Amino acid sequence: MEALKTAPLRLQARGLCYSYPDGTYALKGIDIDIYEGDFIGFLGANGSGKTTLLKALDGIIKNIKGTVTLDGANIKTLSARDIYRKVGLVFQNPDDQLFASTVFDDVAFGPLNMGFDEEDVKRRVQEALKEVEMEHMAGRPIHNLSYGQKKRVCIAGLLAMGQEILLLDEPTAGLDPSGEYKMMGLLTRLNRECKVTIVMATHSVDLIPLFLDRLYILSNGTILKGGAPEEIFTTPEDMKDVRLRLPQVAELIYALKHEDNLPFSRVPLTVGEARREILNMVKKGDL
Amino acid sequence: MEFFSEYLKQGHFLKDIDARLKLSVALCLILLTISYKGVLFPAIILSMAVLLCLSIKVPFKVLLIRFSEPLFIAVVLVLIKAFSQGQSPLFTLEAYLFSLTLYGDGLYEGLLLSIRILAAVSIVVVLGFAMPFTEFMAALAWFRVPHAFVEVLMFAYRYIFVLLEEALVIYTAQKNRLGYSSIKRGLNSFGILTGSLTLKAFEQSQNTATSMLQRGFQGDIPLLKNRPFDLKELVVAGALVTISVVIWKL
Repeated sequence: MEALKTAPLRLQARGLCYSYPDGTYALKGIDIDIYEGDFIGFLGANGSGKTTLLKALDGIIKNIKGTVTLDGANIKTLSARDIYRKVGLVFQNPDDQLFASTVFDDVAFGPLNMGFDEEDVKRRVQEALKEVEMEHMAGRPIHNLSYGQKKRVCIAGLLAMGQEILLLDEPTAGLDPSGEYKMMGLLTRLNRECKVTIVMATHSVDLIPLFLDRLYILSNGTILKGGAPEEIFTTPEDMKDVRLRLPQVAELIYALKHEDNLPFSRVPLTVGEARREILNMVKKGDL
Repeated sequence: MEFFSEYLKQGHFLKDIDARLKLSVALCLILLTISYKGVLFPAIILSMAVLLCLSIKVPFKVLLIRFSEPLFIAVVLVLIKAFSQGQSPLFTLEAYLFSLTLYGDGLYEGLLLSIRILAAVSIVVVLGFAMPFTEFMAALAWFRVPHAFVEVLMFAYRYIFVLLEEALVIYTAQKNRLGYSSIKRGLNSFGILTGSLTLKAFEQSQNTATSMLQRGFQGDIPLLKNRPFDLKELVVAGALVTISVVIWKL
């Protein structure tokens, strides 16, 4: 898949290893290439190393073995300023990230630190809040926001700095179904329209096929496989081995195909695909 | 729970006035109130403050809650002064071994102190309703209040709510499992709650520090600058302080 890429390589990890102070390995020799405009996900069960990998790619974890390069430069040789002008991590818990008293102040924090003049800061904040549909909340205290709104303000805080690569740790965790779709819709729009490279850690298997271009399965600190969702979600057994499952609709079709011998040509991953497949079969008289 | 900005969404006229002026006028009025010897000035300030709060549509119940603590202190002060200090007794209550004498001059002194307290607090209450927290911080920074102090205040304002929320979650979890079913168990649970909160606060501080670093934090939280002073606002503030000084001198 990577070989076909013509977009510039932005982030790359080679032989990335990290162990906790007690000696437990969290990452074991990760190799990964992230290109401009990618919308990719790390899929794994709890404790598989997803968050640690994001932190290593963001340069938060320093004592790593192996290399992480950002636009060709080793991240260890770059200053914090150089890294964070381009890459930003959105934490799983928004309260870890939002520390200012109002939405405006929090989003303005990054641009002010980057030394932009006040007019520029205000413009950037307004634009970033508009991107995440929170412009009407600029004056609101952070503690009055809902969980989903806080998550969106976190993203705005990084967009206002002009970061081109967003690393998101479980962006849909804690959101209701409508909030999950809204969040994924927002990320898709940022990726497609604003050309922001999106890398997210998740275990929401039902949402991934709808939005992500490529995903990597992480288990015990290693990448087991990577590719398009249809290449990854193959059999329920494979997914069970890594404490995951197929998307629910795929589980159903897989069972109908293999246990009830219905003539499905493939296993669709989304409700839309499954619907089309079933309608085709009905038209052909196979059902 | 909220001190600042709760009623700002209603968009009243006080909101748009320069925070530095609001703070300066409030400080002047507090100084005049606590240094006044009589009842007139604090009484005027108190009534004006209450009227102002009501005019910007602060619910009366909220106002009562804000005043409940100083009111309690004021009542206690009046009782202590009236029944323990003074030369001119108004009446004496006698029951068995106890006798309680109400002194007229003590009562007056207590009322004097109380009205000063209530008037000074009323100014702070109006200030709280009239000024967004961040403007207050920017104004403090303009007055050369040490930056570290302003930053600590900003963090406290933000994370007090996170901690309260966390404390409530732990408390509910403990209560659901009979953690407060007796005094002994309650004390034990409360100890665990405070310990857990301390650990969570530490963890939170580490996460927040990481998130700040990745957004370019270099040791100082930059604040947006205050806008230039408005001449009209300056004149009005000056006039207000002058009128107050004139009344104070009467």
